[in-house]
Amino acid sequence: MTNRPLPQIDDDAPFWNAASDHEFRMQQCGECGHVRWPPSPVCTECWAEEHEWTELSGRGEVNTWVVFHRVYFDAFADDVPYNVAEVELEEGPRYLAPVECDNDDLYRGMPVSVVFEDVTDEVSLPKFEPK
Amino acid sequence: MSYDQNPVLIGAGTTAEFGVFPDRTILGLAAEALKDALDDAGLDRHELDGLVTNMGSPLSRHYDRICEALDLDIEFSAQYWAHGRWASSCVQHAAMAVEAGLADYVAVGLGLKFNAVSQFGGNERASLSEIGSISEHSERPWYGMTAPVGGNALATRYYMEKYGATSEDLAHISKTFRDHAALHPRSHFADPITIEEHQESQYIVDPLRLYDCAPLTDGGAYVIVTTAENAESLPNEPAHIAGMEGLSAGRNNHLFARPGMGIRTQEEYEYDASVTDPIYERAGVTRDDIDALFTYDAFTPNVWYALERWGFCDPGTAFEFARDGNIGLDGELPMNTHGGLLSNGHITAWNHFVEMYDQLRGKAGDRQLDGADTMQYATPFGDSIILRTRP
Repeated sequence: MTNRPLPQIDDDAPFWNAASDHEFRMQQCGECGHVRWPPSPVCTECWAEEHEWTELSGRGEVNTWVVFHRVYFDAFADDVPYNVAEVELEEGPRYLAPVECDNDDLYRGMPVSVVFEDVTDEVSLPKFEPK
Repeated sequence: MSYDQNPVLIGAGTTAEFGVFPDRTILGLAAEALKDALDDAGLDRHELDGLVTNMGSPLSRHYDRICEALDLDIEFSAQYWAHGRWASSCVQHAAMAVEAGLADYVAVGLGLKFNAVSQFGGNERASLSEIGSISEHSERPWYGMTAPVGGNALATRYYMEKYGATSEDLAHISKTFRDHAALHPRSHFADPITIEEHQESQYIVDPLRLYDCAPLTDGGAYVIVTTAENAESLPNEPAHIAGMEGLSAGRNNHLFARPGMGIRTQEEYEYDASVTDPIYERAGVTRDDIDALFTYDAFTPNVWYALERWGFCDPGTAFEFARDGNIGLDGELPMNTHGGLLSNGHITAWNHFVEMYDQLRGKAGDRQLDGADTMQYATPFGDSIILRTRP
């Protein structure tokens, strides 16, 4: 796909590095165990800095979703209507990504699990499929 | 709380039209609106010593270029960022400036050309350039997710699923504000629409349709802030800034969702507005005193979020309230009596402040509310200003 927007990687670099290995990792507090997303330099529960990028189950449920009918990105012109969903992960955080299913099949509470799409040599995008 | 210097609005002005003006410049629109506001206030431009705006380039122009081009001699300037959401923060900043003695007469507002640089409902360029990998509107360009329309639609779906609201409920908001705009001589869109036309309009980002999204508007609007004492020598009756509350931020705040709803980083909990909004105590009023409510209606569901965030409706009930005629000019709580961003024009809420002042001084024409003496601007993001005809 040409001109496809890619993530601008900064403090979430470990997330994208893991994704390129098809691993779904987020920060887990070394003090209280809280799993957080988006990335933060401190735990959003206890403000401890110690953390590791823990591999998650990749399982979750659809919390909410949208379906794009208008083309905002040239790279997605052939994809409309396409969905983007907010998935509430088993470990707590919510992650925004498409669910690979018919848009009409989406519902709140739909169980999904993560899959990866290799976009470039460096970037693989986490997405979800119905479970 | 009271403000010792008693900050007031003393003038308001706009461009003669809101619309799409490819042949006009931002500076030209700013000059026309500022001149109108100063004329209204009875001030000469050389008396103006403060300027605050919510946007610089590219949608508007930076404060220094405005001052240079319009020959202003300003001692107190402030410029927020390129987001519409800062309009009331700008008015608050101006009120604080006159309260603190930093300036006597502060012009607050802008000229802008949305159509020159932005894209209806969102912006690929902004999505790609302004953010890292995560941003507050929910931009995720690599998934085809732009914002603000995308982030707003996410919250709207969540609200609909949770409370049973429908797209047709949103249609009543579009129709109501279009009816208001039809009574305003400068509206960008003044032709009435029906519920059916809303329902037949195309989805932009499902569940939001064309008529759920504010247009991109070119135009300008300013209000003039000063102290009550300064206002005494000017021709207009002032509108008193009775209370203010700043923009909220944090993990439980989302631009397009009431706290406690449970999207993005929000926790899901029983939200009780009665214990969260100090503005009413600061202004010395109750919600029952509010004659009209103005909100940042870039998208129709913002009306739901504002009504619930500010405690006019219990969580999960605003869609019924707005559907049942309560936000019209004859309703229990008229909202956006000028037609709002959705129809009067997307002047990033400066037109809201102009309309509030016009309502308070009885200059709202066919839209005039009888006996209105207390107006509130309040957004889903948590910021608010209450204006009154008396301190």
